[in-house]
Amino acid sequence: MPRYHNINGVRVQFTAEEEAARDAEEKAWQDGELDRLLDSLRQKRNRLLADTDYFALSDVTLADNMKTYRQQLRDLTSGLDTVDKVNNVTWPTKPS
Amino acid sequence: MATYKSIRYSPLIGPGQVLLKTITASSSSNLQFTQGITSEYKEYLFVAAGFHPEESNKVPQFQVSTDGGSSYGVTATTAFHVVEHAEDGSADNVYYQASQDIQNGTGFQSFAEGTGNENDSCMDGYLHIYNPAGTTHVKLFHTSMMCQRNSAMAHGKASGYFNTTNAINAVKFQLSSGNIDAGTISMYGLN
Repeated sequence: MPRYHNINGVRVQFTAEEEAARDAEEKAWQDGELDRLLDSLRQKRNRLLADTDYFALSDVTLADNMKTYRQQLRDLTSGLDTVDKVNNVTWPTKPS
Repeated sequence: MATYKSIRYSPLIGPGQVLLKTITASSSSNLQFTQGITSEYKEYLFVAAGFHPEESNKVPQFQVSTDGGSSYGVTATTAFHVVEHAEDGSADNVYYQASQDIQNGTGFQSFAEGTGNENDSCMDGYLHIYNPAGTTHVKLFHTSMMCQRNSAMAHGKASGYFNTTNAINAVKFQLSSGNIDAGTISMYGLN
């Protein structure tokens, strides 16, 4: 399927060179998808860890279930080497 | 006395804001404004409405040109962050998206997360560029774009500058890949 620009409302078909350039651009973006997803996941994971940091203060006793939860968050990215794995990651449940 | 069928109101659009051009996507790889960006206005506003991708989770992007649209790739330094919330409460996040900012580079700037391609999904938002025709300062911009995907909302905000003192005279919008199925972008000059 040929691609088309829309330049000021006028439909203009891509040249062969433009098609090749766009193919390369789209491939580069696709190749970076795993990194982008992991970036988002780490941002959320880090925030969840920060939310429970005060449980780990030296003058607070860290309950085992909280210790497990925080470790599960730290381990969350382990083995996430495909886009599908990142999209289907199971987040640990925060202890009540 | 005139009879009006509807009243259209946008908090973005008001007196002193002049509609210069609206481009409607129709299976378009990109939308380009290569005319009308001049020194007549000190600020330009691009409003995207009903932006709908052909494929799911494609990210809207833009770049600018100083040669009338012959090439797009002006060096930029930008920041990009997102707030999101899912219908089931599973995603309530604010995060900086380091993989989609630009550090002194020439790539296209993302200005939202990807949206779904379901019939009821779309992206809406805007881009402001300040004094694009100026030849003294770098060109500052900021964007705000909302989308819906995977039963969640995401609001992306990008800001930064194009590191050029040449006049910017064209803007190009595209998706990270695939076509823009439908939607419009309107260009306004702001007095």
